Amino acid sequence: MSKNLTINLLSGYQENEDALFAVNLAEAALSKGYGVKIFLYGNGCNLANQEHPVQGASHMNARLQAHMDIGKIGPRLEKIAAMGAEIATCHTTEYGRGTEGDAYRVGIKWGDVGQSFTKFLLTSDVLLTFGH
Amino acid sequence: MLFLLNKTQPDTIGLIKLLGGDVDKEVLLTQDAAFYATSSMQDQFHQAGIAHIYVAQDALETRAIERAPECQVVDYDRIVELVMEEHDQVVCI
Repeated sequence: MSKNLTINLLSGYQENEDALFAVNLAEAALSKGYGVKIFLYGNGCNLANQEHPVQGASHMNARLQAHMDIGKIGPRLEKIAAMGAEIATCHTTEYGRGTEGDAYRVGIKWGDVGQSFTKFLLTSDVLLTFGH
Repeated sequence: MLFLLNKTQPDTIGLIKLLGGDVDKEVLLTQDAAFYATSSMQDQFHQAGIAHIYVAQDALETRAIERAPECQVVDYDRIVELVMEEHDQVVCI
């Protein structure tokens, strides 16, 4: 039976490279046949939701927008969920940020520490926590 | 024991020594911790008993860091092997 990796991701978009590193690592692990679970905790919960389209014109130029898009790894979370990763978020940290109840990206599930994260831990061989 | 570093912080070496004790220690440098891949840090790592130092290729290239020769450059496939197969304990700091 293949080993399972759980990534506890505490960082969201843009603030650092944790999310980008986590997704790159998850993709590589899935490609090698490992199981991957990601718990979006703290600011990481901001990655769970579908984005709201900009209403009207954006005030960014194309170059700045391209730079900001590097850190937008939400679509890649959907991709690794489709590859078999289990991804859950924490509704309490969502509540604290005013996003509880917002629509999730495809493949990302409502979650909590008491059950979702605990289940991840009980079924994992390696736990990595990425935060700053 | 593998220490996965994602940032620079005061007394990183002291923290590794405190958490790692006398066990065999290796270090994987990612994100801003790639700045520790420069030559000036290597003596401190060796004095702390760290046997091997790995640095993530993307972090190194993004920052255009000139690494010390003893730092081994690794891609994500190799990082997966280090984390999932080659160490009983992985500590993120």
